[in-house]
Amino acid sequence: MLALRERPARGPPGGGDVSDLSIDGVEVESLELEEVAEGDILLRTRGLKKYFPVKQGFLQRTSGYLQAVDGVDLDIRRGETVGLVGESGCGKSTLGRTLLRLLEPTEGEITFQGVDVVNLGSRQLKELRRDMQIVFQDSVGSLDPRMKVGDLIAEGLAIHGVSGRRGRRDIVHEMLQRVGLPPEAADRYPHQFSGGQRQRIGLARALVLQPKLVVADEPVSALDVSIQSQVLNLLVELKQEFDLTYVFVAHDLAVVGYISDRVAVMYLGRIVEIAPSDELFARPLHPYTVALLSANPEPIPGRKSNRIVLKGDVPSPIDPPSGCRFRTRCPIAQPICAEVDPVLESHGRDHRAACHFPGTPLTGAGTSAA
Amino acid sequence: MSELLSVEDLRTSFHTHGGVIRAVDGVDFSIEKGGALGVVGESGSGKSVTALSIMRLVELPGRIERESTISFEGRDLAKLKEEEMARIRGNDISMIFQEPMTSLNPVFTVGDQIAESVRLHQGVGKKEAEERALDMMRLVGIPSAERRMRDYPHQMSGGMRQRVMIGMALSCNPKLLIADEPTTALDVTVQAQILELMKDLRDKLGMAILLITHDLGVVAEMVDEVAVMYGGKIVERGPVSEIFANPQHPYTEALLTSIPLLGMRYTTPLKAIRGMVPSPLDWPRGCRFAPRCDYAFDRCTTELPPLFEVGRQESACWLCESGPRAVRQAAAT
Repeated sequence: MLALRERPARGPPGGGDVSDLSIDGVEVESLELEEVAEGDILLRTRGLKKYFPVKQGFLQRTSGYLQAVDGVDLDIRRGETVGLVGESGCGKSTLGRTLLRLLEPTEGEITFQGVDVVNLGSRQLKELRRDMQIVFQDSVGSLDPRMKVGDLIAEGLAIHGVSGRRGRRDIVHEMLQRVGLPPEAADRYPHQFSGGQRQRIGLARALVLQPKLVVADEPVSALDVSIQSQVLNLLVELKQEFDLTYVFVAHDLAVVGYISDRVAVMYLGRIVEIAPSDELFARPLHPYTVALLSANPEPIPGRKSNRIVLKGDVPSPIDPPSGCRFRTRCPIAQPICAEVDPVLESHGRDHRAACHFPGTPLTGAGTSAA
Repeated sequence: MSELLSVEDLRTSFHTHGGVIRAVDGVDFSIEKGGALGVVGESGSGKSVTALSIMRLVELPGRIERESTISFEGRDLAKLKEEEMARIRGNDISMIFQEPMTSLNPVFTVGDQIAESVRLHQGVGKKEAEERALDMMRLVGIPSAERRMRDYPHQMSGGMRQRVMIGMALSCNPKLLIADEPTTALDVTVQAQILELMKDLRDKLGMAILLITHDLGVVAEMVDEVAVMYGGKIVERGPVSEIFANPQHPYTEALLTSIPLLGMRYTTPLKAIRGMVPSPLDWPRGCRFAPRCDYAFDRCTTELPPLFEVGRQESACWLCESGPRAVRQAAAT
């Protein structure tokens, strides 16, 4: 493990200063609940937005914007796992990628260890990328089929000029072993591995530079049930061993809740509720979270009673509803919900929700309980 | 109730250059009129090929082997001529697939497509077929059905497309609906809608359902009887409530304990199943789960266990040869 542990000492890229950061109202609130010192926050976003232009017609004029991420304030504390959960189109993957500036944010701030990420030049960004890595869902699409596994894993080391060719080979072998693959794997090609093994290769590739933050974008969704648990266990082990902070993006509530310390529930580009995992499951406040929890099919026969089935589909993120974005499907929506956009407010115990009527019971409120 | 479908010793193989892939390798089960059976398994377990075999939709180089019988209302589907089978398909047995986008024709409106299947199968006129299509769209809960009849598949969401598929499949009042991963491509809240719809329609129309899925949660919600497949064979079957509470086959047990339930935390490691699914080109001798099984002993690697009766369940494990297995006693690793 020594070879991996050694990395050249260097200052924070861009020479940012932690003390520059101001504390805004929201942060003060959560400080009351749990002491989160400034230095404990690894990554912070404020008002983060990512819009994609929607082009139409022969001239490809921009006719509107798809508001994939629309104003996200998120603090990721050092050493924790934050889960981003939501249905397709809620912006969870876009948020994950924008955090690493793999997608350029449209608006808002991102600071990583006090350094302003949004305005970094390309050289400084490259330096920063050593500390921020990503693992993708699609291990076929994200591993170049013409490169040997060893070269795939060593690519990052080579780009950042870490040790010589031979040294890199040792690091690769050690890394392979760490993710549960034999050293011979280095000389084979990605297609020679199963989905679960390819996901291990993706992990080795992400961790070889000893990053601080890893965004895992649906890392187990494409895997079979029996392989999922292997990879989840591995993610937990590696996190402890490498002192990592995870942003875990997935649609499966049970999986996200399992691996995360805190879970952020997203709907149409916004975080609608965020809380520690157990707190969120025990005391969901936003009606969308309640509905998601109740829709999750569990292998427990007889648990099917009192299910809340939401009506309709998620509206288009090109033209989201006024006020609260969930109101068109919300069983307890009131006139105010169409007029006033609810803000993410603290409800104690590190728990925040964006709802005018948080914690209102949903059963018997116009839902179809089976 | 009387038996609607009875599958005996179903064997479907793919004869490739690399060798014979025995995808389904001796499967027996039956479904009663109006009954519901779930078939669960991971990729490569043979669950989808089982469904395709019943529909006789297995394409070359795949073929249903001679010893197989698929008896549907007294007729052996495995031996029927293609023309006769075509009359059963869509009329008596319908199938819905995971991805409704690829099963719908992108250049016709959804209304036309439902009406077409009604015309083809029921020999009614254009006008009547359209009315029936509209009824079906309403039945499957598509809002403003008249207007949405004229939509093309790409104008609809995934959930709406799956409703259209269900409407089309049910338009001829089939006696058996085969649903192959019907909600896998859908979001959870939409999945909940479709599961409700399918349960509702089953009660209303009295058809039998064969549900193929990898999701144990969906099985628990939808059906009362389940067959667990592994390596082209059924390894355990019986009532869902009993199998989930007291799994007799080690594979079923491992599957149930390897998935996180709501509220479980990473502080307790998941009980992962080691290794991976063996290759269907070369199934292990003996029990196919033996190389990954915590309980395996000598006999497991040499002799293939048959299904043993254990109460109302059946389990293909040598440990169940003389009654229920003492669960978790040997879970050392």
